[in-house]
Amino acid sequence: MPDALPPIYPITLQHGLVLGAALFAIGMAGALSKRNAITVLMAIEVMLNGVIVTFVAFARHAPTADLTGQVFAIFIMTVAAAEAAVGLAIVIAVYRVRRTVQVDAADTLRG
Amino acid sequence: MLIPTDFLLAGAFYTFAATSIVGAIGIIRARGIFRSALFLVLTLASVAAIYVTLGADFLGAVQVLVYVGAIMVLIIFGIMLTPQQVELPDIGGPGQAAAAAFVAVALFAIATIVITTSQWPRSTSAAIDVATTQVIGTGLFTTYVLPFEIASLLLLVAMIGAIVIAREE
Repeated sequence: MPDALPPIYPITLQHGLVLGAALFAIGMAGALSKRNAITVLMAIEVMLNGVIVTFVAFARHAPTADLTGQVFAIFIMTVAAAEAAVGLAIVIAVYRVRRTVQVDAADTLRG
Repeated sequence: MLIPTDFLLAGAFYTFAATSIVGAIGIIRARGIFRSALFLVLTLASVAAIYVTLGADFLGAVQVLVYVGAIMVLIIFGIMLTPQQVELPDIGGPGQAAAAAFVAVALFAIATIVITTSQWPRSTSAAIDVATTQVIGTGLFTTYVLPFEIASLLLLVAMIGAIVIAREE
């Protein structure tokens, strides 16, 4: 195989990284501004997907083909699944007590 | 040397990149949480296709199974179990939404500047021509066997924790 990508190969590393950054930024805007806790969880999933896109882009353009980035993407998906399960359990537990899923309603611990 | 396969792959990448961004913005802008969930499906499925265009076909399948399958079912269960919460205004009024959008745009601008101005090492392979499933599996059971075991423990703890937290008293 040649030792470098053809210079006009369209999908460069930077394109993947910019896409990952865009997904992360949009997810963060949602996580910071939404009131419904479930929407906040959805925005966090988008942020995690942006991170995985970054890892996969690096794995695609890594000098070696050992796919370390893709292995790490698997671990991120594992953590995301655990986060979603526990997060939604907490949301449902709060809803059972407070009858609401608004993130600013569960502020008992505020000083 | 722009061969047609590369061209098709690039076209698919940019198309699905656009739909994933549209879906992500739709999650924020949608009226009602169920529409947000449907936009999230659009984003997650588009990202699965992006993995395939980046040579991660196994991850694309896992993305469909775990995210579009399991996590979306979980989120829709959460929506159904918390009725009368479908449409809520943004937290903190329009000021906080504007501030959040500003922070996100600033973060994206800084990241883009860093990405485009950095010197990245040159790629060495034109395409990933290995069997990704085999390489990932071998890595998981040799080099990364300790993180793999910790991840399984984490899943067990999360499963028990979710049951304990969500259980009726």
